[in-house]
Amino acid sequence: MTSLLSVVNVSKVYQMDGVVFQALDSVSLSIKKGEFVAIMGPSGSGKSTIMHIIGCLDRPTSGKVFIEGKDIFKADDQELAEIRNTHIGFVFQQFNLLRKTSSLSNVELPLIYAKVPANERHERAKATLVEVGLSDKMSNFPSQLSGGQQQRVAIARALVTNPSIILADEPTGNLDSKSGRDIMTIFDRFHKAGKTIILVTHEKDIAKHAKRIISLKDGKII
Amino acid sequence: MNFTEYIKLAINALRTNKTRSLLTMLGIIIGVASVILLVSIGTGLQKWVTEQFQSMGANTIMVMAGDVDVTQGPRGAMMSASKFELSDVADIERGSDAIKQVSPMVQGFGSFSYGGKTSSTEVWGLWENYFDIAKFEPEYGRIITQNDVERSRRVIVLGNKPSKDLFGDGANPVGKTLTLNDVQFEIVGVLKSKGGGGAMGSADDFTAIPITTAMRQFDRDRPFMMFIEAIDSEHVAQAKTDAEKVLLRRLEDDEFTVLESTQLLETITQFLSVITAALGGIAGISLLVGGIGIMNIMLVSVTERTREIGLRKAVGATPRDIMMQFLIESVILSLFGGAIGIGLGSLGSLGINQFIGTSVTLWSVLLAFGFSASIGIIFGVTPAIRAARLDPIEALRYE
Ligand SMILES: Nc1ncnc2c1ncn2[C@@H]1O[C@H](COP(=O)(O)OP(=O)(O)OP(=O)(O)O)[C@@H](O)[C@H]1O
Ligand SMILES: [Mg+2]
Repeated sequence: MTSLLSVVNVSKVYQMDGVVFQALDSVSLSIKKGEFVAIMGPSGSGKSTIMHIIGCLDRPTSGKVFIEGKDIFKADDQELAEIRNTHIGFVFQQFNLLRKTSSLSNVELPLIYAKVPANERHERAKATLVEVGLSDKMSNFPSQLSGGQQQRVAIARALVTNPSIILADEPTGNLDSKSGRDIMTIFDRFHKAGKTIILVTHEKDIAKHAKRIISLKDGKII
Repeated sequence: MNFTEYIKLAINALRTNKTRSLLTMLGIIIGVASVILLVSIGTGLQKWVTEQFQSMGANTIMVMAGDVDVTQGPRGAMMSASKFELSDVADIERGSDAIKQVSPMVQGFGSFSYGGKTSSTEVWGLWENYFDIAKFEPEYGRIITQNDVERSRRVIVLGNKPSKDLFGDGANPVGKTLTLNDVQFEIVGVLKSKGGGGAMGSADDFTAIPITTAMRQFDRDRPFMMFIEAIDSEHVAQAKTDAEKVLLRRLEDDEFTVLESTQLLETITQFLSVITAALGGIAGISLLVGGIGIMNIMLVSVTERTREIGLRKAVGATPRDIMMQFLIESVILSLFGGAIGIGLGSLGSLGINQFIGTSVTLWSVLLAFGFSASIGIIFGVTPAIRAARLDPIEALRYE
């Protein structure tokens, strides 16, 4: 099976006031379609940095990233936005939902940028919210939802475009253990349905859900 | 993302911040309203002046003695001695197809007294046809007739103002006898008021007697000036050149001046349009201030919504999408404010209309609308570009 995602010799160097800091040091990895991978490592080891690069939110200083064979290093800002929209579903630790905006509208957001017509948008967003168990919270604002429910809205938003890869950076980091387990049940279910998932976590219990674990330390894979 | 989506998005964003949107629009509202209002007052004034002239007779041409400066008005002529003859009247009338009639005038000054009351004003010696040319009608009695002229009768027609001064408002003095420079005159008529001022000062402040009587009274043997009426407004210019040609046969170039009333009108309306433009310009400055207000608020809005912008980018918004979102927001703000401003300005103009005739012109509405749209774009571009350029990661981390 060919790899859905390959990262080849990726380095990321930050420069601040002349101080050079290497957040990633020649990282290479490859992920196949349908895999469920956890990235682990201590704080500051570069987990979020590699996730941002894979998610096309950031560019590597050197090295290459291929998503479905496409070299994203060459893409301009416009193309990166399109790749994020069609290939990537990002779940953040802080949920990042739009305030004063209903769950349904939050989930519809990526579809607006995918130029999906309004009717189809509503239908798909509703269906995805049902899948994450929020059929009764569609018109609630984020402020009227629990943390676990907010994260489920965020997962629905990541899934609604039917992306090639779901990236989740510490999705349970802001949740109590019960809500965290609920979230992981959802990820398990999507994995069984054939989705490709990359998850960053500190917790061993959470990482156990993944089928493969990649460990990072000081910007290197160990 | 298509255009309707952008507009929906912008309206939604403006609705979630109603108070702020309204306050931002206020600058544009006030600016546009004052442009509309001030320009409408200016145009109203121009219209009023034009109407005043038309009531004087728009087709009239004045022939004055000497070399008269147009901007000084007819009074500049009083310094020069007249070289006109009564025969010029017939010569001019015969000399052009564009001329309907000509009327000579002898001018003097009179002190009046009646029953212990005294007053003084100009006395014009006229023919009957002057009243037709200048469109004067009697309120009481009659006008000077050609019969009066032939017989050099001592009859007088009072303008509305001297009648009021001597006999009071609304009184009918016809039939009474007054003294003009110690000579007795019978009042045969009072003219209807034209109100306001005209080319000859207040149109109501004069008295009229037969020209023959005036020549004897004031010891003159020449007409002081002549009034020419063209057959219609299109022939005024031709009537003027023809009259000049006739007079040049007998007189020198600098011994007379032929003056269209429209020339004077042009000078005045030109002056008024400068004032209108100046008023509009001052109001335009407040529109500019309103635009800067929009920019300020949009910049604050971009900063406040940094995380939202980051998130939108993360789920696939292109830099263009973000740019359009903010640009359309500011354009909607300014257009909506512009529309309200036009409404308020027109309402205000309607209110003032009770005092001076104002008129809201289409061009000022279009100008105000176009101006507010451009303000939305010009002052919205900087914040929109700033939003579009935000780095998604940094935007998402923004507290
Ligand atoms: N914009 C930046 N400028 C400078 N240094 C940065 C920047 N972003 C990240 N870093 C540094 O890069 C390193 C890796 O950061 P990263 O966020 O990837 O860590 P992480 O593994 O996700 O940690 P955590 O588990 O705490 O989230 C850190 O030492 C961080 O200080
Ligand atoms: Mg991190």
